[in-house]
Amino acid sequence: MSKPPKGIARFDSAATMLLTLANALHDRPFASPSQSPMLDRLLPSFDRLPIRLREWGYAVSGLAEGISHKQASELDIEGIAEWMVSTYPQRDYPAAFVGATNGALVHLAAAMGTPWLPQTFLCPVRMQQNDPDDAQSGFEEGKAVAAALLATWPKLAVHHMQDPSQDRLLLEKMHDFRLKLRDMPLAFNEFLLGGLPAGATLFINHCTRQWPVTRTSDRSFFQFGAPGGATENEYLRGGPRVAEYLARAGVDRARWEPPAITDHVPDAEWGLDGYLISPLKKLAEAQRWTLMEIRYDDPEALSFVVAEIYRDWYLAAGILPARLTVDSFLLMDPWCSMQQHAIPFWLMFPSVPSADALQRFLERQPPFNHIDMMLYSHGTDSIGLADIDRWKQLLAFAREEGAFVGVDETRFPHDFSTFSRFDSALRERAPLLPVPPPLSVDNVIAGIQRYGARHGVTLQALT
Amino acid sequence: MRRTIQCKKRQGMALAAGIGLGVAAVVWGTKRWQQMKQTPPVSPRSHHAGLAGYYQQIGDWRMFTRVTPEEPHGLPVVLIHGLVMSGRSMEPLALALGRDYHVLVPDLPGFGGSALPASAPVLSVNELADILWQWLQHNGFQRAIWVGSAFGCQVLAALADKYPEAVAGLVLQGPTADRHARSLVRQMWRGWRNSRMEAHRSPGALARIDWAKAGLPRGVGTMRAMLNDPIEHHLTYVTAPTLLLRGSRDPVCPARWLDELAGLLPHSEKITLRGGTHRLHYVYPWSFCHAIRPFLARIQQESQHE
Repeated sequence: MSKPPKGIARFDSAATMLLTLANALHDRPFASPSQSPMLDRLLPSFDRLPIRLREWGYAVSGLAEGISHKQASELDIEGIAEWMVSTYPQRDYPAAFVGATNGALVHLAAAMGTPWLPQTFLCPVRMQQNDPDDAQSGFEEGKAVAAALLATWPKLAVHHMQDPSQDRLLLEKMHDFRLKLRDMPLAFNEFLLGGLPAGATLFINHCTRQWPVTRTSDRSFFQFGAPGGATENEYLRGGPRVAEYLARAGVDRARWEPPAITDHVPDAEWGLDGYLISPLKKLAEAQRWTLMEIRYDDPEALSFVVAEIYRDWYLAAGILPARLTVDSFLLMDPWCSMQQHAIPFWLMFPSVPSADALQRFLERQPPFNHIDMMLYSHGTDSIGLADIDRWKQLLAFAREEGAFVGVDETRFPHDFSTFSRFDSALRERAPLLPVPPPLSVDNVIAGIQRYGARHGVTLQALT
Repeated sequence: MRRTIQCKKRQGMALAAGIGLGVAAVVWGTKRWQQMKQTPPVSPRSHHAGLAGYYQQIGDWRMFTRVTPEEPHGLPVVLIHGLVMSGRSMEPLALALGRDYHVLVPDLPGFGGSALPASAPVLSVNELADILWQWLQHNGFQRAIWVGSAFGCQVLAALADKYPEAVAGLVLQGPTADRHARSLVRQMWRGWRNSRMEAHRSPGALARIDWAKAGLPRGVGTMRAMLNDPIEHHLTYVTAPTLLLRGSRDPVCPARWLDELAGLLPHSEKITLRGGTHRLHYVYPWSFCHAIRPFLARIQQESQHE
């Protein structure tokens, strides 16, 4: 796979999930998520450094992903789209997914052997100095960059995102811009036209999760905070957890003061910008594809449904699934989960609400013999982060063994080398066995219809 | 003294090694060039997808034509390649269109499967148009829908001008040569800029094969013929419905140039494929096919009585 072009961050949900799915479709593990063997070798020794140096290194590695303001004005959207489709094998597919980023969806696509084209990706832009807690200056400084990005493609929506709780380390040196494609780039069109025969199914992954924003134009927004540990209210109005977090970080303020909220729009990272639906409808009608929309509000709702679909898929192939693999943010390898006959359960972040979601799932399932759990480290004790003991309690649901995979419990959430370690560690957890025949489109449709209503996931035909 | 002798010895050895390497490179290059000339005119992938090919004697010329497997129904769609690049570069588009139409892709005399000996003359745009007219009749068709790319548009404009009865419809993609940049250097500069944008799906390997088959003198000679043939002089007299198509990033055929050409045609429409480059037929064949399909369907419908 070729190196991603400038302007798309590799250490992000969209790019990583795209690569892990592409690897699964190529029938191989996600052996090097960093795409850099050198970095994979360096990361373990990096973890031995003192915590301050580790944090500094994390920020610098993030910086390497960023582009300058000038490069932002020359962003090549077509080139990025071309890179995305080039990661997948070129062949005919019975179906494809387009739209919101979601780990559970990636598992579903992997079981079907079908690709997913992301609507959103992260474009980090380097700044001289940035105060993650100063929302006002972040908002003002971001406007010029957003304008430059908007000018690169007429159908691009720019969500400037500032989350001082969960992205603290990276925000010190850069601004995060989530770019949403409101139309299909030519490379996406070409890929679908060439790979989907008439009668195939195109699924739109529509996550309706919204977040309050300050709108700066028709196509640009400033989003302060993000779904995860803290609530919208805490980001906007403060609270005891915010005051305590800021005091812990040594910041001389009791709450954040973001610019006035003017709108509620789809969340920058997980939500779908509905403008994409209309061109997809036209394309599907012209090509005689069936267009289906998978719709849900909570990104983790799909994890419940996909876990049930996986269970039925294994049972239909005569396999009794007794292993659960818990993914964390971008730490996941569907190829490995399928080879180990494990049911995947994707969590958005290692935060308390995600831990609660996993607990709800485990309480309603027949017990698993084995639970393997990854934990993403984002380098900061953010608000609402579930501590290691909470995760251990969840592992205790396993009948035989619950274990962390590639996690250094003493270093979490500063365990940066988990990124290079998790996949090989996961592969060692269980023997790799032949995968059942690909999940059919009909079974997926039936599965979502059967299990979706219980979890707020609906399926609707649009053509 | 000894040092000077050693130094001279070393220089001599370096020179000998340099000459040796140079000779080896020339020998290897010539061998490779000869190998490229032997490349089959239909790629194995297209062959597996059902694309067949045949040779015909058309007047003084031996021409190669690719044809899609579908049974002929309606007007045939004929794809005409650009400068030096043969019909092999049109195969992805032929296969995409072949799902709905009977598609033929001839190689113009001197190029690809219709390669000529170096002694044969370089053909002008008008001569190529005459040969295409003969080729159409030889294949038993009165009319066709013609799709040209770049230089192929110039040949088709001349054909539609001289033989309007042969043209039911015309699709001109990225027509050359922009009259505001009608020089070899500027065209080559634009071509180089375009190839940088197409690096991810570069037709470079195909181009090298086609250059080897055509030969450098014919390639350069035809480039001159391209610059000496103002397409706008033909288009004024074209009566067939014409679709003009370009990629929004195409530096060889700028938007202004396409607007000018559209202004000359009495029955024209224009499509810009956002994000597209110059060699749309090779880099984005499915999107090309998708964009022109409504036009082709309309022409087919209008010609149903034939």
